[in-house]
Amino acid sequence: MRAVLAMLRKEWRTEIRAAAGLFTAAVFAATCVMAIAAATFTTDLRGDTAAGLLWVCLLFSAAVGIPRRFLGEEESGTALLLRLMVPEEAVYWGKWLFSFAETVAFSAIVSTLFLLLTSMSVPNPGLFGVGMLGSALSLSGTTTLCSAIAAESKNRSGLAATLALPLLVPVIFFGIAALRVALGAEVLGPRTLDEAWRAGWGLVGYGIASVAIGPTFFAIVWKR
Amino acid sequence: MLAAEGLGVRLGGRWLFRHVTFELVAGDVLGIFGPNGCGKSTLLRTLADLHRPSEGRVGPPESLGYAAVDQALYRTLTAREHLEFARDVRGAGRDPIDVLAEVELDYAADVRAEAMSSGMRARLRLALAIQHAPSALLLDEPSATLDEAGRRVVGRIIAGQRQRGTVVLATNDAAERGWATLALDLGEATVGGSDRPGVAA
Repeated sequence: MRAVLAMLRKEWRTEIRAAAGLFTAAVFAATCVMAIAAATFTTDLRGDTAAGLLWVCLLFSAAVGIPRRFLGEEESGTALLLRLMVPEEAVYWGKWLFSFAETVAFSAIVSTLFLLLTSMSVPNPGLFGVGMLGSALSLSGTTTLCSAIAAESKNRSGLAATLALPLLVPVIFFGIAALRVALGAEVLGPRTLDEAWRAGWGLVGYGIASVAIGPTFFAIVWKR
Repeated sequence: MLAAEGLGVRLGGRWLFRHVTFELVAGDVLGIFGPNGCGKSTLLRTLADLHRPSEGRVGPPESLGYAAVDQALYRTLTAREHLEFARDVRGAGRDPIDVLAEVELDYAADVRAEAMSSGMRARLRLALAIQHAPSALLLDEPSATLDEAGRRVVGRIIAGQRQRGTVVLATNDAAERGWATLALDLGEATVGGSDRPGVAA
């Protein structure tokens, strides 16, 4: 646990001091939300449309983080230091914890900004919370894993994006199914509401599964 | 304490070295020599488990320290933070300031790596390699960017390491050769024919 916390502290210090990565993600997310707000200024957004647009913002602000997980360590040569000193499970969990914390923070900022600028209300805050938690778990687990797998490749960034696409498709479906109802899309009966909750918890389950299998894949790709 | 048995690495369709066999005990300093491209650094990385050998095996030491001239550091972390990080992830190691004093870098404990000279970074790499008192210390051209005082630090580190374990030193520098008590010439081992057995120390 001490090694995991040391990795997390190292990630925090290097990210905050370099600033470029976090700054890029913040600017990207804010621009994305403002563009959507400007485009729909005179329109009453429906819950299902809003869920899709919010997910675009969440997905792309998370995608900005992919190159900063492992690809950056390989490109700067510091991955060698990690391989020499840090137990592989501590590398994985430290990286994932930072990614999760970052995704939670960005999700909170992006969704708050989105709701404020589009004047949307959240009729079902419980379902919205579950959907956002599942999104953060799934996005951080998937992007950490893809970054680790692609780090050894010659075409790192291209491979990371290619790997992430199929893994994120179920996340997008589950996420939008939960958030559209949470944001007030028309509910035709108790079955639809149940389905939305199942999608929300399914998203949480997918996130937990992607995080849990991560160390197994990571152990294979990390050792040279 | 550190052994290699029939070790060989093939890269880009050619053997860098083959049949490298040795067994080191406490007090040994193995010097690895040879021309550029003969695989000195690759052999060191293979011993450090950073590179998978194409054949043969390494008898790993209990603990390992590694410092190479091309080893990157976190540019936004200070010397003290590097050593705190190393101590915490290894779960062992001396106080950062004590280790920095040993490599005569304690005056720059709070200087970030990006603001250090190449010689200061070399000293920090040495500090990271010895902080946890490893049983085997692998050094790749350790004094390449160091001044005379820095060379003396390396000499003291090697002398101290001999008291508790082994040293493997990859170099072509005449002064560094003087620290070695055993020699393995990879150039000799490969120039005569790629299938010829390497030097056994």
